[in-house]
Amino acid sequence: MVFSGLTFLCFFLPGTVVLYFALPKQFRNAVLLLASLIFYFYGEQLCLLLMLGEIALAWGSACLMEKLRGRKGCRIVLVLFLTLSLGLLGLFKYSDFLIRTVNGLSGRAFAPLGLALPIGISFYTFQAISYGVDVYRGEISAEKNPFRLAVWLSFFPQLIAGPIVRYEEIAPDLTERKESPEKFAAGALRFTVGLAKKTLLADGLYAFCQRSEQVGQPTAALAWLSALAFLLYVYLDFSAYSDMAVGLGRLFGFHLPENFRYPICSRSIRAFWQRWHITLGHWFRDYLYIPLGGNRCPGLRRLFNLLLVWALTGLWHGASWNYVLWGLWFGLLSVLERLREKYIPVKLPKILQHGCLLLTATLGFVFFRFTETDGWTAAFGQMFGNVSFWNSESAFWIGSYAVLLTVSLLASTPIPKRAAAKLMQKLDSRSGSLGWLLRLLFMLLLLLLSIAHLADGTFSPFLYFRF
Amino acid sequence: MKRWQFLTIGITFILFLAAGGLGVLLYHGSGYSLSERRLLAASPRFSGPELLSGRTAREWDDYVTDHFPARETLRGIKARFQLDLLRRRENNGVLRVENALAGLDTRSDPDSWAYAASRFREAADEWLNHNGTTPVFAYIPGKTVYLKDQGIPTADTEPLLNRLIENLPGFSFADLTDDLTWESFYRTDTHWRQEKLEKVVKHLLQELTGKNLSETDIVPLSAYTVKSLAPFEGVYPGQSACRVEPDTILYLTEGPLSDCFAADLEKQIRIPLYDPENCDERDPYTLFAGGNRGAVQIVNPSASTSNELVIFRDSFAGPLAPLLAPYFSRITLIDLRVIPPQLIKRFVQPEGQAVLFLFSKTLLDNSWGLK
Repeated sequence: MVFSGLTFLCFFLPGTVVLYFALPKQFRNAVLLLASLIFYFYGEQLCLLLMLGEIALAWGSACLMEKLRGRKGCRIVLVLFLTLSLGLLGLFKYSDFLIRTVNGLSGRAFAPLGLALPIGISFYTFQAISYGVDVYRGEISAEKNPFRLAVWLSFFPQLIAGPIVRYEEIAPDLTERKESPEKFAAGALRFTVGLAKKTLLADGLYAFCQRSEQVGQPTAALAWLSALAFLLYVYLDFSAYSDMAVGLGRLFGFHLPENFRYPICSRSIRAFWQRWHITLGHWFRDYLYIPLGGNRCPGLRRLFNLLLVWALTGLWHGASWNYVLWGLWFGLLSVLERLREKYIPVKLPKILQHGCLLLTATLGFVFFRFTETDGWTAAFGQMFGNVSFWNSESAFWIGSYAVLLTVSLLASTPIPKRAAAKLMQKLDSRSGSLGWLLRLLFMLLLLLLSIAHLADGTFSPFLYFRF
Repeated sequence: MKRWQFLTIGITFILFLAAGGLGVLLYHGSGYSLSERRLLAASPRFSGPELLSGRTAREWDDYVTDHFPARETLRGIKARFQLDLLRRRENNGVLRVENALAGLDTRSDPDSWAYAASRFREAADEWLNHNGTTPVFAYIPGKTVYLKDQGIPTADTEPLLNRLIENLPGFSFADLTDDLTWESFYRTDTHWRQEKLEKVVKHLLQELTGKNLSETDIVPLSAYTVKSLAPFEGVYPGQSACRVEPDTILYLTEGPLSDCFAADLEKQIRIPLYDPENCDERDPYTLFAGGNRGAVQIVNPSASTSNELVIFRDSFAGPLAPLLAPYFSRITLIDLRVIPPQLIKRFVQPEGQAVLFLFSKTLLDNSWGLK
């Protein structure tokens, strides 16, 4: 089930909300758990057992670690827990990648296992690991109530594409949250904006990227715009999902962390990654980079750690070498950036900084787009001139998507949100009714347009579901 | 904002969404989309194995999408948003060009063309059995080719046509591209207009008879009585959910066709040459020459010649065949999507007729239905 599907929008969500608010408070976590299990079963059927297994593993390991705290057994339990969790993730996600790599290097022909990748496994595994490690470190207490842990790990707003929510962030909401009409309305509006971002912008950008790969005579102009469109597509698709996740959480009184802060507007690679998929970046920082030594390590060791973390960040996104290249691209650039700041501390004009970031991000995401080497080598070839710059076919496609590209670029900045906030502030100060009416009508308009696009029947899953 | 205002937003949000779900559950339509010319998804199967395999979920999603209340209106809203607000040139693969619609035609399927050639070759070999007849292959281009000057990209079919000709040894070839213009086609459909086929008729007659014909050798369109059938909304409005002014089908009767009649060779019954009253309401274009029937014969007792013609065809032959009727005593139309090569002789024996294979780019790109 996807948030941008009619089944979720018109059946699951209204049904869950009605049941949730109809029942007394003590049953509401049960409603969420039931809804989340149904949500996952709908899309993944028997893989639900895998997720339940991970929940049981996390709960049992944490309780045991707390019991054995200060003793050698505590560490053993942690190691076992990590081995099992990462082992399952590795088996389902990386086994065929490993086999393909071994085959490629050795010339052998081992048969791939062909295991289907359960949706969301990367997300809930990392959440479970964060919980286990935090308990081991003594930063949080183990949750004795397995049911409450299950509500968190299976929570449908963030189950299959994040944000990666730490247990300590959500624990108060599990027991003491207060729903309110204000939060519900805010959640509804946030969800609607995310839905519109996905259906009206991201899906269109994806169509443009597909079209540009199918032209008879590619051109450099089309290749560049297509690369930019792909970067915007990934951002808008994923941030739309995060908007919807945060919005859904608010409906039920939860405060899920933000996952994006307009990364396209950044002026450096480091800033970009501090604003892109924030919760994943924090996870790798807290559970890999810092345990490896973090910034305390001397020069070469620190460089190695950085590149390792970046490579693994890439690999987390997909079981394919192009993702590793993608991660290393940004890792290398971030290292070069630090070196430049240290040894050539020239302050570049802001517009140049923005331009450099956009250029390097656009190029980096070419690796993200194509899993086969042929794909990204062809794309780079087109971008750097082994084809003509322009032709009538490119003019047609670029012309057809020009408005969408422009609107998407604008939507990737805080400008629309700030303008809307200013307008609402003015209206609210003049007349509370006008601001409210505008919000209501805006929400209805976006819902209508989004549902109109969905009713036209193209299945549009979220890109990050693949991870 | 006040509490009741927040409540209104929240409740409206849920009610709006729930209304869609209720509409799906309560409203039961016909199961067929007239505008899209396709069957809508059936209700999903609910059983243990189907649920566990995920099939129920997939079928339910398809069902909800197809049976969503006010779906046609919603599709229209989406089309307006894409075409008018986002200034897209196409929606769902259909271009809007002023007051007309055309399918985007930027790709061709070489495998499909090769398969088509193999079917044509088999039909010719099986039926003609190398009796010395030279079949004519006539190619009808997609109408988007006439929009090239407006910067609309179209597939480069030249290599495919060359390969097709190579794969049809013993055939002569007639490319009808220069005999047609953008105006030769319906504004809302893929098909050509009967009243615009004068040049096509002349070109094909020259190929089929081997004679150079002058204008006076061809029956002018003014010799016919023009009748009309309106409105005609072709395939594109439904596909694109974009409404333009409907077409009017003009069909040419009387005059040289006064004595002509047609027959359905499969059912062995007489049928009208044009049947506007009984044509498929989903596709009025089927009024021409038997519509989608597999084997049709047009007989012209008043023909000044005993020459006969066999046309292996797709849907484009419907309007064309009556215009060729004045020149042949008998025209047999065989649809290779219905009649396999091995059964052609059940309907017509090879007896020295002129032979025409008349196929459009649309069919060549999707030839998998050829038997």
